[in-house]
Parts: sequence; structure tokens; C-alpha cells
Amino acid sequence: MSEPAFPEASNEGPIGEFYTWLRNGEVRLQYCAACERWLFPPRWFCPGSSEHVLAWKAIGGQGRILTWTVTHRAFHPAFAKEVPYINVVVEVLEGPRLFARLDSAVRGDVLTGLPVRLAPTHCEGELRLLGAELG
Amino acid sequence: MGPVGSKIGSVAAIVGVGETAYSRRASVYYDDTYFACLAGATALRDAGLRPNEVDGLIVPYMGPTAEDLISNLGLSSARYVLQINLGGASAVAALRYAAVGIAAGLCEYVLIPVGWAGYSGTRARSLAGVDARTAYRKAVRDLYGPYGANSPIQLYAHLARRHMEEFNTTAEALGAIAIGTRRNALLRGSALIKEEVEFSDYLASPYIVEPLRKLDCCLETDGGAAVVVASAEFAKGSRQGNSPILVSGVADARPSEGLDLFNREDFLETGLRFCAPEAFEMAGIAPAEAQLAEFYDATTFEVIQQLEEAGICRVGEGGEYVLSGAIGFGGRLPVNTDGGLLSKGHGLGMGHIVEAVTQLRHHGGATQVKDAKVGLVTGFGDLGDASIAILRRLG
Repeated sequence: MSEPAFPEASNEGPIGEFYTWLRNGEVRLQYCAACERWLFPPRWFCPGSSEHVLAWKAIGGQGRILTWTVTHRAFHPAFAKEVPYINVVVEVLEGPRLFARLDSAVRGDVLTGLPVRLAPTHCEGELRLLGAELG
Repeated sequence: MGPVGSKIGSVAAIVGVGETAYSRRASVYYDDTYFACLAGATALRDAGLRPNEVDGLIVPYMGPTAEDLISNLGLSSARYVLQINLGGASAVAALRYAAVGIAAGLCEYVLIPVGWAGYSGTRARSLAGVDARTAYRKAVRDLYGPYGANSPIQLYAHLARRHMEEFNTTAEALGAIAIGTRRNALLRGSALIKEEVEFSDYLASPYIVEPLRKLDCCLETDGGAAVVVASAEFAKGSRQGNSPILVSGVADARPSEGLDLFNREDFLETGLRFCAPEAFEMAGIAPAEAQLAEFYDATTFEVIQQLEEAGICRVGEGGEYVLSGAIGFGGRLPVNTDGGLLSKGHGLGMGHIVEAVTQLRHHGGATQVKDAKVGLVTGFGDLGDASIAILRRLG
């Protein structure tokens, strides 16, 4: 029996570029030099300046957990084996908030406010998603 | 209030409603179109209209096309035809664009049908897998799905978590909403699950996505609902049986950052805080004057969030407001008087409009709010799209 198909992000346009950087081993976000502002989710233009040359700059990866949830039921067959798992909204030092699955196996306590590091993580044998680890 | 709002307040009235039974039969035979048409036909009969008298149609954001509805219902005169794409906020928002068409003289009667085979067909958890053409579906495809969050509940749980941690909102508050709306549904005979819920049942209900439990989640059902909107002036003069219900105020708005759920400056912001003031201003009332409220309860937490966003209580105080008993039948502001999405069934927000109309017609049976004259209905969609209507009994 074949494995259920993994839900793939788009590989086109600005979001595609975000994931291309992850596959290259880097977490990069868009930065508008005119507004001195980081932008997420990825897009073509900065809404503040209509600056079309948004540079992709590496971020440090450090951030804090803003919110966390624990999924107890598989809503997609590809994650059936992972249940229960933790999803986090991480606010990185640069400002934007990114969503990820917490790699660390920790439960029970309040996770809000804990420092995490975002870095590219493996999925189905290759580096291609955003990963979050405590610390 | 912008130029549109000032021209459409109190211009339109709801003159017909229809709602199917909500069921969970796991039969894939009947689809979204079937339920929308069934409810639509009922609403037309309730309005005393023949299908070929209807010249306006607002197509639901998912399910049937305009052609499906026209060719199934015989809407041969439909010329003012449009679609609103605000997720679950579309039904209430549609009242605004129905009023716009009527105010502009483009149509006399607008049918707004909704149908969702949300149990037998595509359930909420699977919507993102279907053709990512909305902001919600793109966000799930690109930002949340690859990390294991494919269902709306997995996203909304983060909002509930934030509110619980920032404002000490408790499980008791969430539970009170589940318990109260189930009680309303049982009293009215509209409960899909015919069991009372006590707080011990609520706590025993398994976590689906912490901090939300099964009893915090709306039902997945097959069903539909519809309304017919006409000019208030015409409706007042009509000899139809049911009293027309005035759409005295209605507005919709998106959140400030709508590409995802988590990057707006205020984490708990939805479009409702932007459109509620306009709707109340159009209606000429303060939020506290509403006598009943049908809130779009995708989760129990939504009721708390919308109480705050609509300005009925202050931000952070929604939990206390609920625990005070204010939203119970007999309270200061009875909420979801026939069970809502949590206990009646998923009418994509149209079921809430039907109930508000039913209450204002004084047909609310065992949960009829005494002397109901003015009520509010909200819609909530996807990543925080919002709508709100203030409905008023005429005369």
C-alpha cells in the first residue's frame, strides 16, 4: 500500500522562493530596504512602498513561541503516524511570525514564551521544510 | 460610515426564509447544489414568490454555480447575479450586496441560497485540498498544511490559546458556550445530538487540538438555508403573511493582513472590529441595544472573540461576559438561540440569519426571546473575514 501523498506547498512565485531557500539550507525572509521592514508571508510587492525588488535576507532563526497547540487527531493521512504533535507560531527576533511543527518531544507544560530556533528541516528524506527546536 | 453604508441602511427587508434539516447520513448522493436549491425553493414559497419573479441572485462562496441555481430553481429572470467570497462571512455579507442592488434599482427580489454537504461531501478539514483559489486555501497549502495543520480547527486553536493565556480565559468559559447552545437547541427541538451537556461532559470531551475539545467544535452536517431579500418599502405594503424583517445595518470587512492568520499586528484581530461600528451606525443603535445575537460559532471561542470584536464587551472580557450568564436564554443577550453551528448544524452562516428572522417574527418557540425587536447576526470566514447585520422587526 502506498504512503499517503504529503501535502506539498506551492513551488512557484514568492512562496516557492521561500522554500527554495530552505532546500538550500537557509531560512530567508523578504526585506524592504525602503520601509526597513521584514515581510511575511512572501509576496511580490511591499505594500508600504510598492518596492518590487524585495531582497531575500537570511534571518538568525531565533525566536519565541507565541502560541502552541497539540493535534490529537490526524486530519490528513500523511500525519497519522505523527499524532499527537505540536504546532507552534514562532515570532522571530526580526518580527514576522512563522508556523512550524516543534521537533522537540516535549509535552505538558506551557510552551508560550520559550525560545526556539528555526532552521531548515528534513521531510521525506530531504531538506525542505521549516523546523523549530527549543533552545 | 462610507458612501455605500449611508445609502443602504434600512432599505431592504428579509421576506422569506428556508432551511433544510441538518443531517449526517454519510450518503454521497446529495450534494451542495441539492441542499441550496431545497432551501432556496422553501424560501421562495415563504416569500410567496414564483421563481421567475426573482431578478437577483447571490451565489454562495462554494458549492453551486449561478447556472446550477438558475437551472434547478427556474430563476429565468435573474440578472443581478454576483458571488461573495468571504468564506463563512459570505452569507451575512450578501445581505449588504442584496441591499445595494435593491437600493440602486437593479433588482426587486434577491435570493441568497446556501448549501453544504459538509458531512457526506467535502468536509471543512479537506477544503484546502480542493483547488487553492482563496486566501485560506493558499495559506493552508503553503504555510500550514506541510506542518500538519490542514483543518480550520487547527488554526483557530491558536487564537483560543492566545486568548486563554493573555486574558486568563478559562475552559469554563468555553464550556459554558457549548453547554448553553446545546441547551437552546434541545429546548427548540433543533439539536442534532440529542444529549444535554454538563460541564463534566465538556471536560471529558476529548481534545481535538489543544486547547479545543470535540465539544468546542462546530458540527459537520449536510444541509442548507436561504433567504429572500426585497425592498423594505415594498415589503411593508405587501399582503404576505410573515412580517418582513428589516436589514437596518449590514457591513463586512477583511482583517488587516489577510494572507495568513498570524501576522496581523494584533494577533486576535478579525475584520469584525472594522465593520461592526459601521453596521451599528447604519442601524442607529449601540451594541448593547441588541436583544439577541446569532454568532458564527465555528468554535466556542469564536463567540468570545466576536463578543469582543463587535464591541459588546471589552477586549479580554469575553470570558467573564459568558460566565456571567448574559448569553444564556433569559440573559441580557441570548446567543445562538437554536443551537448555532455547535448544536444545530452548519448552514455556512445562513442558518444564523434564518434563526434571527425567526426570533424577530416571534416564531422562536421554546427559546423565543421576549419582545424581540432587534438582533444581530455575524459571519466569520477563513482567516478572519467578517460580516455583521442588525435586523429589526418592523412595526
